[in-house]
Amino acid sequence: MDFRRAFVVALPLVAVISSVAGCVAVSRHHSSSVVQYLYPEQKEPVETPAIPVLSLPLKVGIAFVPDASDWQNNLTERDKMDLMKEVSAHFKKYEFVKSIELIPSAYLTQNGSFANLDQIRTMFGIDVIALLSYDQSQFTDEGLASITYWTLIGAYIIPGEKNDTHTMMDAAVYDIKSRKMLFRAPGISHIKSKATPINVTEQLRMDGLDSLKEASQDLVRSLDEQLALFKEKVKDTPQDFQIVPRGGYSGGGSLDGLFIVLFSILGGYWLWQKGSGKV
Amino acid sequence: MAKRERKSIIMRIPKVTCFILVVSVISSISPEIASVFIFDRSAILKGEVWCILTCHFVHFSNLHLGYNLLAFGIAGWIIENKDYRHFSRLCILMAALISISLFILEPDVSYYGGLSGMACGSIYYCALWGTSENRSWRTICMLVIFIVPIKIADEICNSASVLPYWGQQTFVPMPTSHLIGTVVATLNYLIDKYKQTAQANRSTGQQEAWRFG
Repeated sequence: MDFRRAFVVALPLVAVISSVAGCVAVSRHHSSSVVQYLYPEQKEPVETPAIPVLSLPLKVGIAFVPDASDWQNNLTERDKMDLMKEVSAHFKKYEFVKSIELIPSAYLTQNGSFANLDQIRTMFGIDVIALLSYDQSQFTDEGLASITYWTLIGAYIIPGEKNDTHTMMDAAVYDIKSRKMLFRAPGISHIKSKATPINVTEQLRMDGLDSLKEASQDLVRSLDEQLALFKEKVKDTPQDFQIVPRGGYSGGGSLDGLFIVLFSILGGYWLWQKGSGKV
Repeated sequence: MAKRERKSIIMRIPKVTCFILVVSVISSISPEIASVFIFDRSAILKGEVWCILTCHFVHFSNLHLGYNLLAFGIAGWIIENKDYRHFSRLCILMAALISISLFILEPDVSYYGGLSGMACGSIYYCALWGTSENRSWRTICMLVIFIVPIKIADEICNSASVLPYWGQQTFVPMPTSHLIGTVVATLNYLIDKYKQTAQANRSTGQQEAWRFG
């Protein structure tokens, strides 16, 4: 009798202890690297960038850098195209962008380097490419609610798995011909969710995608800032960048502020002289 | 008396300048007129040669129009009020030669519009004539004669002049038009000055011949 009572009291305690002690943090990591793609098997990048000659308006390409590992990759080609469409929609509003090509992953080879980019430049007729890479880490921890898993039904209906998804997306914009990175913009995201043990992998997949979408929106915001900084940089250091107009453009005879000031001084002085009767 | 004053005011209205400003405003209001007036390389090759003269009236934005009208208005107003010679001839020459030069020197330009080349030439012409006037006006004119070529050289050499195209303007600024306008104005001035000097020498010679002969 004592043994039975002790068993009844001890069973839930053991369950709690075992469930708490059994909290196992599972982590997943997906990433792709621009450095690995452009400078494979090189400890030090040896490409010497030349002065970029940017023919305005630019023909821009957007591509995802090939993933570092193929296994457990939850980003499908369709998802990649959707994300690239979002980023390209943002680029389209700029007048200095003539066209945008979405480059499917099949055209980018693992460790393809600039030789691969040169092929893409020829195939798609682009001048500049925005290489998208990402780094995503997902963690799953069991929360206190996981104690209900002992009831078996709880494992189906109680979301006791706590998921954390951290994503960093990066766009590195390269002038292909000169091998020079023009600018880069990052986008980050952190998503939390809960899931039952039965649908935890599905939830993680959805979180991964949502987090990438959120990171891409953040990326688009920082692209604006980086583009503004890049324009200033081009103005401040014209020796580092050469801007040339592309054929078939509209030319305008226009005067800048200095000319207007000069004209105004002349006109104002003449008016003053006329007013004072000197002319 | 009142009639004479009214006549004097009418005489002082810079007619050529006003005509160019009004036509520029009209062509900016009416897209139909602008499309007929604009420098269109393919249309010129098909025979629409009037664009060579009329393209300068066309502007691509309100800011573009405003800046150019202000600049040309000031230059033209001073020239006509000071009775500097042959302004209408200068305008026609500048309009024609700027367009022809762009047609030859800038083969990538499909469309062109804007009064700035003529404005640059006019202000330079005004400054060149101003060098033979009173001292303070001459100083200002010398300043213009000195600054304008440096500014044009900077625009041509420095690719930064292309940058306003980014996000602000829908066209590429053409400093070549400023250069051609200024060169035409200088040549026009030199020819007029030569004629004036020759005429003065001739009349002085006649006077002396009359005095001694």
